[in-house]
Amino acid sequence: MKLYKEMLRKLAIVGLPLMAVVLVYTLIRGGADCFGKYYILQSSSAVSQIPALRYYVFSGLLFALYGFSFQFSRSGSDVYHSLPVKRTEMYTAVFLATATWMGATILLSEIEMLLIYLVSGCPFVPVYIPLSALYYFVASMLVYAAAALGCALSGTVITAAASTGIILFLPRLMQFMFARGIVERVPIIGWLDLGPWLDPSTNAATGILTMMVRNVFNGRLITLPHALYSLVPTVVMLGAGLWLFRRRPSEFAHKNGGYPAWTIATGVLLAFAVMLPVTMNYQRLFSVYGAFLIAAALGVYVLYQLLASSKLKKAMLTLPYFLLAVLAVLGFNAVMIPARTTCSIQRPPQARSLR
Amino acid sequence: MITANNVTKRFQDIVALDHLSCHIPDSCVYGLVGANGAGKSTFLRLLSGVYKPDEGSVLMNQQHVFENKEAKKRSVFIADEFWALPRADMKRMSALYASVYEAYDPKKFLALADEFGLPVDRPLNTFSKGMRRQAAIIQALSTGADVYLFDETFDGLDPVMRSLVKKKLYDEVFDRGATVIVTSHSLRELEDTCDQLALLYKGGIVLESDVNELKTSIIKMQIAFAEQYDKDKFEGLDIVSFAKLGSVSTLIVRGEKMECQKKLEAMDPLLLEMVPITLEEIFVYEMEALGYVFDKGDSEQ
Repeated sequence: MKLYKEMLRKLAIVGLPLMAVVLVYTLIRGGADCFGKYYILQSSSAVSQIPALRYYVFSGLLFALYGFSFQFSRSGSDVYHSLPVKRTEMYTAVFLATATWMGATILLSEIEMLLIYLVSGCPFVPVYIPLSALYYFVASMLVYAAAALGCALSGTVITAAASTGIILFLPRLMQFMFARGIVERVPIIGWLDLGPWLDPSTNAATGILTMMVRNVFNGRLITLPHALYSLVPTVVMLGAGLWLFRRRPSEFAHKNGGYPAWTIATGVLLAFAVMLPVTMNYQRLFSVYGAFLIAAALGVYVLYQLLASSKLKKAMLTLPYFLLAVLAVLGFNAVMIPARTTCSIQRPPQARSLR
Repeated sequence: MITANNVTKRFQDIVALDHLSCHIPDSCVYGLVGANGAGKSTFLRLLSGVYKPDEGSVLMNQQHVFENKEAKKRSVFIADEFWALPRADMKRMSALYASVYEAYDPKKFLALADEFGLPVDRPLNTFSKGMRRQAAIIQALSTGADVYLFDETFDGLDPVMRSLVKKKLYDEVFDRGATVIVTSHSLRELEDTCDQLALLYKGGIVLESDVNELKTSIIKMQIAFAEQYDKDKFEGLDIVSFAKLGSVSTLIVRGEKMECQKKLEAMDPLLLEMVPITLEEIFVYEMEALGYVFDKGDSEQ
């Protein structure tokens, strides 16, 4: 309990300013919506109830990076790992303190919004309030869980942040590519019909991002099944993070990737993620578009290796591993092209091909 | 009692500690001396449970230290590099230690801060290097731990503060039976502080001894005779080192001072003079006697 309170106090540096920003933004934006011309939008869905929270959930990364910041310096690691605290307790304390800060912020902004509704007389659906609170809380914890797992794998902030991005987004991006790649030319099957695992809106954290770029999801994003669905990867990642944190040698502190091969793997996976869109269209792989994506991936790879190692020569020595990312993309294409061809065969034939 | 049994710690290809074994008794000030890279910090990190040994075991009162909350409650580690929470003052760091050490004494913390003349509510990042070290020592002394692990903590303290820190540590040892383990790359820093000294060399302890025993077991003297002579003249003595310049020789002899002096006086020398010997010299001579050959860099440490 004492350690939890101590962590709560430590994370106040992140939690308090963010809470203030969320509450002020909710007051201004929510007030403007309820008292102004977007009056009708407020009652239409839970999504637009708390505008700030869709951004706030991604601060789970900041909480994890700051909560586990002692892992990123040798001196910090010496202090924390020498304290009479079991690693499980330490991990749990950071998690509970983060959950408290993020939960409190979400709850307070929901209450604030409720007050705005009541004062303005804006119509609202009462059940949306607890539902969106639950949804945003699960989304926050999902981001935090990915970041905690990233921190357990890493010894520096840069690798931890990059790892978090990979853990959170790469599997979803691959699912998206898989669904999109196979069915994009099949008009009768939308990729939203492929079930929850391939539906981009089911995962709370990535679903929010999808919602930001495609308003069509607004109405279907915040649901109880989606929140419960997202709890599964959250719990899995929290468990994996704890397992790794308990086994993580403290000598990883201030080393690029905690596990020696992880720095290389992180760079390769980042490059792979950047190049992945070329699988959307086979012809693009050998086009200017493909060349641009490969160049961008190479840039990201080199930049990451430079930031991680701080030495040009060391970063350049890792260049051959970039080919692994290229090979992975080609491999992904090798799977995607036959799958898409199979789907394309099912399309209605062109009139001129009929005799 | 702290025991290290055949402890090995590797960092990829580098063997930092190589089958190191030692027994550190309770209620003493134990000094670990060694050149940079000898493995002092690694050993302290193993003792404090920061690192897990690759081979062997580190026991504190018969309990493994790594991931053992009960064993770690008994010790506190102050690393060579100071660390504090961002924008923290001494009060904030006190709260951190108080949250994990059940025996933490806030009154003692305030009293020590007052005695050292350190402001408890001033941000630690405005402290000088020496003040930060003092702040770290104060935190450690307030935890109520039985074992204090200090990694080069005294290096760089001014003489007045060194004296005050030493006094506080002796108080802990005499009043509470605490054990203090302190490392330094300089023997001079520890010479007047420790009861026991150990020399770490290339990942192993090559010499471990009681300081008083060391100081009284070896004597240095200058001697001259009217006639020609060489080392063989001193056959009955345990000569550690013999160096002759003209007719005057400098002898390092292992043995009881009065007994050696009597034997030499019996040889009717023209000159016989006891010369003060530093602990550093004793270590070098003992190491040479053990067959260790130092390069210049090592011997300078």
